[in-house]
Amino acid sequence: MFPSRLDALKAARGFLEAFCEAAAIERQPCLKLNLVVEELFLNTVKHGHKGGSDAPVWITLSTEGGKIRMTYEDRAPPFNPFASATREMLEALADTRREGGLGVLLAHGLTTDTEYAYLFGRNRIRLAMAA
Amino acid sequence: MALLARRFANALVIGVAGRLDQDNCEAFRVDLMAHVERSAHDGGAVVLDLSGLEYVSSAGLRCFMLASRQAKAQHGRISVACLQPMVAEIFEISHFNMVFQVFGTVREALAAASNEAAAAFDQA
Repeated sequence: MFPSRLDALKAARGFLEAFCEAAAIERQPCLKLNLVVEELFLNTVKHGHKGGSDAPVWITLSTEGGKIRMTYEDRAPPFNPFASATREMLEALADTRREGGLGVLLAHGLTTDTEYAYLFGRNRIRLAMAA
Repeated sequence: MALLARRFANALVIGVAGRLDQDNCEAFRVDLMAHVERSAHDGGAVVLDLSGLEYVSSAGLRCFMLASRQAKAQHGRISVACLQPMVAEIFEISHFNMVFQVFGTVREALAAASNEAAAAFDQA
């Protein structure tokens, strides 16, 4: 569990590196996992909590069938970064070379099997990546 | 992140290595902009050699975009070369491979900039 603050990103990275080492995840997929978490975490801090909050972020990781599975939860206001409408909007943004939404676009492009729910005051994102 | 700049005739090759993320993107942006401004003032091209860059997040991409805009505003140009697989994938997902000209090697990027730059690279 990590507070929704920029300076907590380093601790989150350490958690990811330890997971990759314990699960024998190779360098490239581990870097992609780092990237997805960085983008989701910054989205939570900058947009969900308008710059930062002590509200927790929970990251749960496992491996299964050659995939990394992650559950990412935060207590920011309800927002599904992977909604199809959002996806189309982000691609349009990319085509016009604007800066907004790049992080979510990257996270979406590197993941599969994404699910979103807002449950008990938490945004819950479940996703998978190739291990 | 230290940037290693090498000049080949009227082109500047800037080596970018390691990680480019939320933590170091602002310092990187300041350094890169200084190189881009100097190169544009000299009327030359900038080639970013990304062979040593293993990780770039959206924060890093924004720095590349800002540098590209600055170069265009000053009638300069930036291309990128030698992308590692993950960085190449990030460029494709974000459509940055349409913002920048992407080359397999620094030599190819210099040749696209000018014959003089390619010749200087061959002689180095």
